[in-house]
Amino acid sequence: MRQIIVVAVLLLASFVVALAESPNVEVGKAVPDFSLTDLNGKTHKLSDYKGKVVVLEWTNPNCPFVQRVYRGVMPAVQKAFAEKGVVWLAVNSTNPKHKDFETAESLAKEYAEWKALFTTMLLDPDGKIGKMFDAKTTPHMYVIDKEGKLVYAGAIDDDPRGNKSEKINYVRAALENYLDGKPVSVSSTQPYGCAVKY
Amino acid sequence: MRVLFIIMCLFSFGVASAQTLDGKPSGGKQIVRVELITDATDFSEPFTVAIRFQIEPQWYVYWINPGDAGLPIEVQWELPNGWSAGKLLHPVPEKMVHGELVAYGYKREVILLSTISPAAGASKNSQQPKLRAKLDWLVCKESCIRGTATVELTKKTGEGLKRVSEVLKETLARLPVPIDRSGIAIERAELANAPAGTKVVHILLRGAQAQQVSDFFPETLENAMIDYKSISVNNGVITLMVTPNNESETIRELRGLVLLGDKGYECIIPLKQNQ
Repeated sequence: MRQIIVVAVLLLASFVVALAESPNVEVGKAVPDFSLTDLNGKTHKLSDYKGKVVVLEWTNPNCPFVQRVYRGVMPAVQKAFAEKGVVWLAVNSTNPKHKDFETAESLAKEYAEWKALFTTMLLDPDGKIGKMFDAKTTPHMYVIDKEGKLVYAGAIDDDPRGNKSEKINYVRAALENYLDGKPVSVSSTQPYGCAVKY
Repeated sequence: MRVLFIIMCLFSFGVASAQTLDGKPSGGKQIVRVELITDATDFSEPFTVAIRFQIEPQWYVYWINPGDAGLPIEVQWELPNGWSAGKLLHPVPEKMVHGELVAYGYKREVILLSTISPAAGASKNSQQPKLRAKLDWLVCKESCIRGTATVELTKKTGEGLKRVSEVLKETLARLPVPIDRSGIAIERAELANAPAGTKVVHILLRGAQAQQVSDFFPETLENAMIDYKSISVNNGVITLMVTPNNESETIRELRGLVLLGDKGYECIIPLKQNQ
């Protein structure tokens, strides 16, 4: 009996904790507006893109997982969906004190060499927006629908080691589902990659 | 020219079959050194082999569940026909918390063990077999570096063999053991709905030392994400939050290590669905 009470109390307590720590961003819910500056210092607000599908991609060019996807399929996926009007925002939350931190200039150069085709790259040096999204890894991907609701959060694909011949690109799948007017079949997955360098 | 080519081939073979190979380290320094060793001398019976990773200070490689980021070590065996390798055994890892992120891994050194079984009819006098393991790992400090290597079983004799025996013995002592050997049992484990599509898991432990349990290192779930930061143990009750990949997924069990002192106890915990 005592244990049942203990469990009941713990359950209640953890609900309270969960409520208190509930992240600001959840799949199925509207994403709160935020603003960040791009590599040229221009401010972008999420609400600037209302009515468009937005992809957020946490990135760090020094992470081997990011390097692999950019040397692989990433630019082609970015291009294909840019042509369909999807806005693709790469977000860099690397702390300026971390050794992976790079200046806007060197970031621009590096991604240009990879022929990256995102709409723009946003800088989040204090990690505030990364933490709001609970972005854990690079890459960590989010898809926001035309109404501003989060419809996908998680990994770029199902191939953490990069050795599968047939992989599922979750971002492409979610975007295709949504643009076809279907529900997103896989709406959250475990992200993989390097830790975000907050 | 051809001679030079052959010499180069021979030379590169020599390097490849050596014990140590590594992915590109930063600053020209080797971060991870790997070798495949055994103390067996009779290869007609199943025997233990060890894959040893020696890691530069401050760097770490990952456990079977890397945590929020990272990648576990992967081993692919290359064995003679008819031979087989058993499950890869990992020692109890260390939990490393970096701000909001949790990693499970190993610093300095980790030795993974496996049992190799020879083909039927292998004779007692058979020579040391040609065993190779293809290794793939991620090693991290501030940044991460991917490493790969192929190691071949190396022959030790005399003192060397004795040292390998000691290393194997020490490693065996650091492996997790089944929870029923700890005197701790799972009294009850329940999963209940929590806000924002997450679920809360409570695992009640019983036994003389249940109150001393300090942590729980879960294995990954295929259909859900574990909030590693949420894992807590209070008075013999483990609590953690999980989020299923979609609403229709049911989480039926958790696997992992219950930590008591520096010992890890393996358990499979069926979860009662408490809606």
